[in-house]
Amino acid sequence: MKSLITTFYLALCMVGATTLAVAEDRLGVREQDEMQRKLAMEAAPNGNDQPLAVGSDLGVSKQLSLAAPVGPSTIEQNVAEALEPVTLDEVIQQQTVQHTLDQFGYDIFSVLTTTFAPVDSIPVPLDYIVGPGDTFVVQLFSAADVQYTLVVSREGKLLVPEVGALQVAGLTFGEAKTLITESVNSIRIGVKTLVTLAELHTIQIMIVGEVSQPGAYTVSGLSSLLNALISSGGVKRSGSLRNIQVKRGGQIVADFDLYELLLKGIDTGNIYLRHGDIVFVPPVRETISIAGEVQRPAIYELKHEKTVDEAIELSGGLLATAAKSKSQIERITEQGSYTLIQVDLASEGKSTSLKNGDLIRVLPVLDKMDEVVVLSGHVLTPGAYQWRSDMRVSDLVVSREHLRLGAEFNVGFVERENRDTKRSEVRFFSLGEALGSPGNSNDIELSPRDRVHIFDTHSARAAQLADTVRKLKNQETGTDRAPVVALKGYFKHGGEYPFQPGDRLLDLINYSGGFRSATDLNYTILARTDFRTGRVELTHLELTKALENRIGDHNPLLEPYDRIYLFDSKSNRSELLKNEIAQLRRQTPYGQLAPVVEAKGDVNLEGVYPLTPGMRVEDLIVASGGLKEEAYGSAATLSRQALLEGEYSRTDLRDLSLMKSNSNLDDRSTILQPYDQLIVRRKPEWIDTPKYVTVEGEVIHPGRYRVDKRETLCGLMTRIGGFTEDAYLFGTAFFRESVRQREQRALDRLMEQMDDLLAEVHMSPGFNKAEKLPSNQGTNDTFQVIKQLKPAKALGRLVIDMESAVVDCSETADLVLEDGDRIVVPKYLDEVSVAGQVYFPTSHKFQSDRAALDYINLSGGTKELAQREHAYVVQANGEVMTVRSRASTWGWLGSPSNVNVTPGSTIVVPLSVDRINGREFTQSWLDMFYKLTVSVASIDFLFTQ
Amino acid sequence: MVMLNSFLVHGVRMIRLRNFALLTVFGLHGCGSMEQLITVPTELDNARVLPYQTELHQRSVHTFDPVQLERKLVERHIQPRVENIYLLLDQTVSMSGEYRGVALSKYAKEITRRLLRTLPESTFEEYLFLLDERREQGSAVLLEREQALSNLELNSEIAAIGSNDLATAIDELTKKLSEQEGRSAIVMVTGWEQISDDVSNAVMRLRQNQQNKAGFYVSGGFENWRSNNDQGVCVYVIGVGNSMSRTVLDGPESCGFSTSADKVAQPRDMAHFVERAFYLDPADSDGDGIYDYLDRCPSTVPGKIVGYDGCDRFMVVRGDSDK
Repeated sequence: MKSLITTFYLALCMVGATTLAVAEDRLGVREQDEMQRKLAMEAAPNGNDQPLAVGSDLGVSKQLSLAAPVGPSTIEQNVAEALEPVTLDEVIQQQTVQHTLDQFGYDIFSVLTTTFAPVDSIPVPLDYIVGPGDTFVVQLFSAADVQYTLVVSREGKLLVPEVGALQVAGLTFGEAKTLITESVNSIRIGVKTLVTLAELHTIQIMIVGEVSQPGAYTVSGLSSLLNALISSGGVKRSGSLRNIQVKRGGQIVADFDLYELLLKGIDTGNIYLRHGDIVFVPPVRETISIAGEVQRPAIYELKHEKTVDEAIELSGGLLATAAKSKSQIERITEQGSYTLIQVDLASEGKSTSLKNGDLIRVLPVLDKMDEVVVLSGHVLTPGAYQWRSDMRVSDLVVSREHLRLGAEFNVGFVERENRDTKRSEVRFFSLGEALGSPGNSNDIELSPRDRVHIFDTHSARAAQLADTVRKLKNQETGTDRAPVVALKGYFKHGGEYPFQPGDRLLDLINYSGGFRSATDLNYTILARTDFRTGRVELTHLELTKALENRIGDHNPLLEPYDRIYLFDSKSNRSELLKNEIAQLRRQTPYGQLAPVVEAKGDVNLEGVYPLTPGMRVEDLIVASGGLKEEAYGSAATLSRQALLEGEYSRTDLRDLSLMKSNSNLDDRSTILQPYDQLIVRRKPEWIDTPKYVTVEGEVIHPGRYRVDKRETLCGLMTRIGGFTEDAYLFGTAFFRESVRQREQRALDRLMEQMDDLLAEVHMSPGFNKAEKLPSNQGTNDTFQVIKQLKPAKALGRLVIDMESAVVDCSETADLVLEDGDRIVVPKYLDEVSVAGQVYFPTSHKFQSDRAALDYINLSGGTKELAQREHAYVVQANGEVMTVRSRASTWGWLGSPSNVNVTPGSTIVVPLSVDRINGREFTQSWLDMFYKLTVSVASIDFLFTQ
Repeated sequence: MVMLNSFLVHGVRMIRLRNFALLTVFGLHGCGSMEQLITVPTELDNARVLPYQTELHQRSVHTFDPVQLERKLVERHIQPRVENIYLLLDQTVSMSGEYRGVALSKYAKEITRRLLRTLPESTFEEYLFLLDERREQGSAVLLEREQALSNLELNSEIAAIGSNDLATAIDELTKKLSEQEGRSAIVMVTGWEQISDDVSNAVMRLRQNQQNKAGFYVSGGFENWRSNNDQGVCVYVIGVGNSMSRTVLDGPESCGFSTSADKVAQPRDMAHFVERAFYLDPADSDGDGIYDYLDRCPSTVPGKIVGYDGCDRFMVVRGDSDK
């Protein structure tokens, strides 16, 4: 704090210094002008009509610029500290008060410049002793005004015209003035006489002793002792300021005490010097030093001061921040060593005598607030308050008005300094209780220097407590450890908390803001480190039991450095316990297994858990957040790591029932051993997600249906109530997602191969290429075809025989439904479309006596580019049949023959790829594409009608 | 027809002549000192894994030094799970195959011998049944341990169920067991393939028989079934042959498990098997989850949280001894 203030002041000083320097410059100039005018005015009536030339090196202006800006005074510093907000921090006080001390008074000589000029300009005082060399100006005012400038002769006489010689040397200026006036008046009646001194004589003096430049000095006759000393460069630090003597004719005529002048402004002894005077500065004799909380800490010379009080008086008195009772005198004893004398300045100051060389150390008062209590945290008026006896929390927080919005009523804490043990302590209280019924046990009685902290409900508490926790940790000893616990995991405000003796788990949960919703009350881990061995032991606590019995085992008393882990039902517990588990592994001695178990499979939170003492399978299930709903309770596997003879590891697998209890078998009460793994399986035939099937088109109730695991098409169709009259069962389209994906993959793969193939065709050198690819025309065509094919998307249509599936649920036709199946039953279509390389692609009315070729012929027949023998029929049910297919006709091999066409079919006559590209295999690829994509296109065609 | 397939490996040119199974290495001229010569066995087909060291194996048969379980059992308060042990040693013709160079039947016999030698003395009633169709049908007899061992070693007349079928043998056993007091364990030492559906059905009949004999319904309903004195039967299979180690007989509802002969052949493994199969987990009389042999406070009040030493976790005021 102190250093901060100092820096602040330093910064201020630097700013101040620049502005001040500017002001001084102006000040100096103005001062100079003013002085010149003043001097001129003063000189005029004295007959000294020549105005004084004031040089630019005038002492005054120099002096001003020398006055460097100084830092804040001690008083300012003290006040600045007091202005800071009140804290209970204690600052250690060192006894070093000042690092250096100066001898008092000597700097008067270092500041003043040596010049005779000021001596000349001052008006001549009436007690000035006239001597040879003085110049008088005598003005006579009568009928004719006369002025004489007269010099005192070596004999001391003044030769005044018409009057004669007057003996003036040795007279004072006043006496000489009277003598001249009277002498003139006695001779000339009616003349008014004015006598002034124009130039003064000089005198020669000796300055000897402890001065910086001893020797003979010629100074103005008007010089005083101090003038002479100053002009000679002043007194050395070894010289006395309090016994400066002027010797005249062997007699001491003056004994000057500069302290009288400096401290009180009395200048008795500062006599005017005469010719031949000797100024003698004896060495300094007795000094004492005063340091610390006084106005002017310095080294002082003693003259007649005898007591400490008088010495303090020399230093200007005590500061307000001086601790009177704690002052010390460092003294040199007779035996030649230092000793320390404790002085209570308030009572013993007068009676304690001083000795040469004493160092009086006035220490400051304790920088510590007492009799205050501090209120901090979420209040409107934080800060320090006066402490009164019997003060309670409710006296400090008078009403709820003082609290800010969102203040925590359940808990607040008091940080207290135990005055006997010198330890910080923490007391928690319920603010609501304290305010609600003042005087009860929650309304804690406050001690001086208590800090009452009010929390709020929303912000983190660890940061607010960090200071207290740090204090507690700092003051811990080997036997007395800091009462600090760490709350980790699913706490409202986790972190490190102090606790008071007797606090239990639930108390700490309360301090941290209470339970959060969805806290797992069955699994809480308390990690405790044995202080002596450093071993960590984890304990499984159940908060449900703690809430039932608040003094039971499940709500244990806390010990320093306990860690409490609280969990919710979702987040990863193993991750949170990672460090503790790592420590468990680390501390496992040779020949044993680390107390760690694992839960896998269909438990809510898989992971590694600590093996707490007495842990059973059911505890591990609790630790892992319980079984999932799909878990198979009748049989889980416990994999046990057996250590044979401490060296050989074997894995046992035990089947255990999580449901039943039989002491002859392994069950959920089996005691776990280190490295046990519980593997929970899934229920057989567990249905993760329900299956839905969409039925559209010509059914009585189209829509989305939920189907069972093994429900078939027939079952569903029977269930939903059958078809409308218009339904065309043969043309039913059945879409299945898994099929679509498979098709899409095949399509994509084909497409890639196609690209590669084309690239190969272009790149590979071959003979007769020109013939194959005439004038690049074919290449471009091929590219165009592929471009059109590119966006081909698989539909995932599965060809089914709806009629036989529905009518008699025949096993061959029926199929089990999958999630996402889509069944579209179209209207009856009585047309047949012909597409592709025919002269007039169009649709025709279905007639049962027509066959595929008939329809092609009806569309004008095949074009030049058509590949007639590759024509095929896309039946309404999705089947694709080549027209020349042997199975479908009784025609002969290789020649297009008639295939039975069903209503809603599309007959496609493909483009002859040979004409585009001469290479045989390119053509076959393209053919495949055609079939795939055209079937897609035809289905689109079917449903857009 | 010589195909030259040349490539460079670190400056060494290797030329492989396919038809001659010959590999020649030439040092490349100008390539310094990297001259190598690799010799290749002329008859590559001869390279094979050496057969299993039958002799060594058979020698180890005689050096089987069983682990003494008694001390551990006493120290850890481990109680037997069963009172009677029926050993079913399969020596039928179906066991005539070889495994690791040893006849399966011999292997099975050796494992049985080791099991008998590892079993602590005078704890169980042991019955040995030899399953061998070549022998006359007889009745099972109670065998003294030494007698059983010597019988096995001498391969002389021992009690045999004259059946060539494991399932039939189990049915025979079922009859015997229905007159038997106390809990029983059946150990089948046989080949994995022998555990057929017939066998598993026979075991099911055996178990039902045992439960009907001993159990009763508390108040009706399956959940309330309580078996009397836990007189179920535990069925263990030690399979000889490949390392399969589970059979259809295993399940969480039934006592017993399967293991392979290899896994129990060594002394400490056999001891581990005996401990797991015929003994319960160490006793925990006060139910605090800490085995008695680790429990320094053996009579903890129920509901107390204990430490690893079995004592009240939060009772001890730490730091008292410091003061």
